Amino acid sequence: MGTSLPPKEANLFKVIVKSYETKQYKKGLKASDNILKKFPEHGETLAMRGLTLNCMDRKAEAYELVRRGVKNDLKSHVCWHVYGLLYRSDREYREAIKCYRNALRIDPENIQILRDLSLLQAQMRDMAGFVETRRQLLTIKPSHRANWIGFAIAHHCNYDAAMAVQILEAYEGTLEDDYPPDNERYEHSEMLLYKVTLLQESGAPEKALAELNSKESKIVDKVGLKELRASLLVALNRLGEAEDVYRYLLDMNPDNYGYYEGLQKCLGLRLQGTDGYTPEQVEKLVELYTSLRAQYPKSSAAKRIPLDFLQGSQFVEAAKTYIAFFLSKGVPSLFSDILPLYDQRGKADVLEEIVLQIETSLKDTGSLPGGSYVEPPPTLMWTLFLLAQHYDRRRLYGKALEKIDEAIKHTPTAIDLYLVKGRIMKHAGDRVAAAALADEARSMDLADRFINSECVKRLLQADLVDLAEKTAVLFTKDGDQHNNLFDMQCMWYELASGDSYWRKDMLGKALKNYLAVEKHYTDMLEDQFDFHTYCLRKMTLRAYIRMLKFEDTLHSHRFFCRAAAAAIRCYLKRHDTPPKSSEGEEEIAVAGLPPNERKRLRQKMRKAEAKAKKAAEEKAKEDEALALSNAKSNKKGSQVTKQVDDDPDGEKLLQVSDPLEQAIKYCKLLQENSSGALETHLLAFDIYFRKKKILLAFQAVKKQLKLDASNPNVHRNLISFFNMVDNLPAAETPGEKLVRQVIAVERDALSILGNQPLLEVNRAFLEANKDSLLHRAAAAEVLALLSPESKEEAVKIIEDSVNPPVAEGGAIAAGVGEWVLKDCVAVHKILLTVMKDENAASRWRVRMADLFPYSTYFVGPKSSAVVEAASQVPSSVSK
Amino acid sequence: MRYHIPRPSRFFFPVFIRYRWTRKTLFFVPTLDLRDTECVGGHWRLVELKMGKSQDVQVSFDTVREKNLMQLKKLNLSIFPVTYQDKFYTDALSSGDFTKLAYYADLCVGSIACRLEKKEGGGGVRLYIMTLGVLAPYRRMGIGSKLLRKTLEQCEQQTESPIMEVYLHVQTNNDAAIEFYKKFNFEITEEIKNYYKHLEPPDCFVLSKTLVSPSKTKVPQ
Ligand SMILES: CC(C)(COP(=O)(O)OP(=O)(O)OC[C@H]1O[C@@H](n2cnc3c(N)ncnc32)[C@H](O)[C@@H]1OP(=O)(O)O)[C@@H](O)C(=O)NCCC(=O)NCCS
Repeated sequence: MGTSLPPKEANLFKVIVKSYETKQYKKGLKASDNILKKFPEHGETLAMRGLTLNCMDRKAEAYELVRRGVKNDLKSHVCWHVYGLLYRSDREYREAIKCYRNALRIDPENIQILRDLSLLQAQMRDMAGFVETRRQLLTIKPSHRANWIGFAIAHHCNYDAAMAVQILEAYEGTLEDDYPPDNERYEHSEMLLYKVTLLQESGAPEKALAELNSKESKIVDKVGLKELRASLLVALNRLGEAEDVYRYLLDMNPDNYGYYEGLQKCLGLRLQGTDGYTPEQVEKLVELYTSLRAQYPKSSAAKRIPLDFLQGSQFVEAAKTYIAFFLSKGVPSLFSDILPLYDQRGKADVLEEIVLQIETSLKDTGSLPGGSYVEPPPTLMWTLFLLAQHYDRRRLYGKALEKIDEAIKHTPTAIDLYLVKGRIMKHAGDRVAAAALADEARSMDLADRFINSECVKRLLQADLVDLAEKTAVLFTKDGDQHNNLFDMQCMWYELASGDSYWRKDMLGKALKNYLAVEKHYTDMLEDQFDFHTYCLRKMTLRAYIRMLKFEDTLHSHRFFCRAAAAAIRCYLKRHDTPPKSSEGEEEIAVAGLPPNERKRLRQKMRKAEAKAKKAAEEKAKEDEALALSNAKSNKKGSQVTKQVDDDPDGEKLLQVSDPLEQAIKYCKLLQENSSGALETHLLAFDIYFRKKKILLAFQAVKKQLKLDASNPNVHRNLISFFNMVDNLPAAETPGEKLVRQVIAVERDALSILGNQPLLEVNRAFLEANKDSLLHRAAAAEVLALLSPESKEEAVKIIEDSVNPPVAEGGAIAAGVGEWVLKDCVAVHKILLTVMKDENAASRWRVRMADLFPYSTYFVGPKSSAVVEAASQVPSSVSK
Repeated sequence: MRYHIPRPSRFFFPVFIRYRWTRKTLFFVPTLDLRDTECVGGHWRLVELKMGKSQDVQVSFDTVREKNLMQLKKLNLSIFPVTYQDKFYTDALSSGDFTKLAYYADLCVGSIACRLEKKEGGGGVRLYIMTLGVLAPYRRMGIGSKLLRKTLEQCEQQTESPIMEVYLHVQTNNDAAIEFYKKFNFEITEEIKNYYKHLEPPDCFVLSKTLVSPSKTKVPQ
């Protein structure tokens, strides 16, 4: 480095490098000044100066200097390396890789550069390159443990587990017999376990087991060892031995469901398909769990698991004991524990009977059915609590509320009761009351973060965003409040507040929240960078591989999908309704609501938001003061203390020249990572249909048909697509003609169309699905689209729908109608916005108010939109 | 299983093991206890008691602060026919240790709220019990007694400006409460007509207990 310089300047150059490493940037700059005075065009100095400036937030200068440096000294690996580092700091990994490669061309054995390059390759999943770089590193420095491990990992990532094993074995060959020394036992043990999993993965369970057995004494993670051994024995079908291991594990932790599952596997009691267990299996299972319960009387798992497979009277008995036991113990989470049972035919009815019996017995005698002791008072309260949740699940909201109110009367200080009541209200369709209840719960324990968060969520669902924000920040660090939620990657909050803004039609703010979520995922992808070095150094190899796999499927995560889909919807809406002159937010928020609710909501919003506004003003003042004092404390301004948000309302995000282009960007991520989700293709269709990209839109329709041909949305897309094609002007260019031909061929091949006219297809669709509300609505929409003059008939299709009672024995109580609130709201919107039939819409509203008496949307007679009790207005946030 | 060994009381020494999950309470009582008629000399006898009776419930206490004030409000709303004003709660908050919440099985089920007063005509301090209440389903389990006993003990311990008297108002028809306070040697010292504006009957008794010399006060068990 700095070779072309005379000794004095060469020394100065070293100073620059040193200063850069020790972050003494000022010093580095001074040194570079001194060199440049004599050698103004010295490439390496220019480059280093640029790199230093980059760290001082002077990006533009940095790039210019480094580029000049490279130009002046193309043969210097230092310049190229610096260029690479500069790109890397801006996360431009592809460019950085190019620079490193140039540097290596000049200095092929430079370990530092090779190592940096390998990190980038791992990050970018350039696995072939990664292997090659790692090979070079090992050849240069075989004495380094990390180089062996790195080489093995590279092969593993490149889908060659067998090769990775060989490398690890070669590495072990270099070790002394008494390896490892005490201070490296953990690292070595992890390496061994990693090797065993590699063997397992490469389809050699026998070898894996042998390896595990021979290295047992050197493995520190004894539990991991046993678990691995058990699963290997199962793989080798040595079930007897596997059983022993699982029993040993159960002895250590009799509440690990995985061990029970393993044990069942060993005993041939594995669940086959979806048919459940055979009667013989059940018999054996009963035996097994009876003995396990005797062996581990304190294990909840041993008590709970049988409820899954028992049927009939055996189930009744087991469930009775189980529920009574936990009610008496006072376990608030009992309901979510037994909730999965509701999906099994008939069990919901049995559970109802059991809990009702308990309730009666407690009320009559004070003790549980058949019990000889008077139960402590909370048992009755928890029983009512369980019943309320039970009725909520069965969609009997009236009964649920009755029970929860009784429980509240019994013990009005039990906070869980209010949370559950809020939940019931939400399910019943009264979000305002739900929020008020959650807020009441919150007021009862101001130090509980969970309740606070639940309250925030409910407030957002009730569209009281400002109040929600104020409540949320009660638990974030002072000073930097709202940003703190972003820094904590608090995604549920961002999604919920995005949804709320979406409902209020404040697209900018909604989009801003959704894109914040998207940003978190990008950050997570970035965050793995540090682990490429860290994990190799710490030898947490199994965790490292797990992390890589996790990152590979990162964008298929639920939160990401939700955020991306919602962002796409924002762009679509922006495309459909380009900005007009600005209207009052409030007007937008209340639009589309029935007039009396409109008024009420307005009042509510004013009340709630006036308070919030005042507080916001106070906060703004505080912030200002804070910023001022910050500015004072570091006058030099070398550090940016707080980034000012120059787009608080997300307006800039929204003001893109082509919203659809943006939507496509996110849609592609969904298509790559969630191609199995119908919604992905529904959105893709919505975008390409608007973009008039005929082939892409058709592709989306085909994907939809493949996933769920009978879905009402798919039907709507299918027909509106071909309707659009039918109404296109004649094709002119050869390209257009070709597209039409392709579509025509495809159309003939689509069996679902059966070469029928679209109206006929729609009629058949309606006929086939005439009992389903959403299908009828879709058919009506399509009819109105195909023949606008049949709108009356279309409305009639919707209005003639009947709400069929659900079948007996399910989770939902027999006799309750199948229709759910969400769908009925959607239908109302169709009547209002698609059919534009106000009369029909208001008839629908009245009918639904009867069906959903707690729904605020339909102004149900029991909803808070009508019953305005004082206690149902969310109280103010007090700290 | 969790064991809870209470501090031995003055009269006899029960060692009880509370089997938490079933709420069966097993008492080991020394059979030398004179009150035990079935005395089998020299051995410990196992007695199973039904829940809901005095000695066996575990109660813990907490002071009232901003963050749990709402619990006190909820209790009062459910227990007392009167709605208390903000003044009540500011008094409660500022009374420090003399206002307490009682927790049973992690649920807040009772409270005592007091106010320290300078006695008129100088000399000494007295304690006014503003409210003492237990949620209805949790009564007759000894929780009220525990709250009051704890408060009385606290009065004893206050040596600086000693508390000479504890008093309270109670509606004349509130037999339960009168019975309860009598057990603690409170006496009716006065009847005030038309004390309550919105209750029927509107009259109240003043119940009072003199703490002659704090160190000699006997607290019944
Ligand atoms: C008064 C009150 C606080 C007692 O609380 P509690 O937890 O039930 O009291 P305890 O269990 O400690 O009772 C102690 C003793 O008081 C007496 N007592 C309590 N309630 C009684 C009642 N209803 N009838 C007769 N005696 C009663 C009994 O002697 C009892 O001992 P026992 O149960 O061994 O027979 C409760 O009844 C209450 O909250 N009442 C409503 C509020 C109120 O009136 N407060 C007083 C005005 S400030």
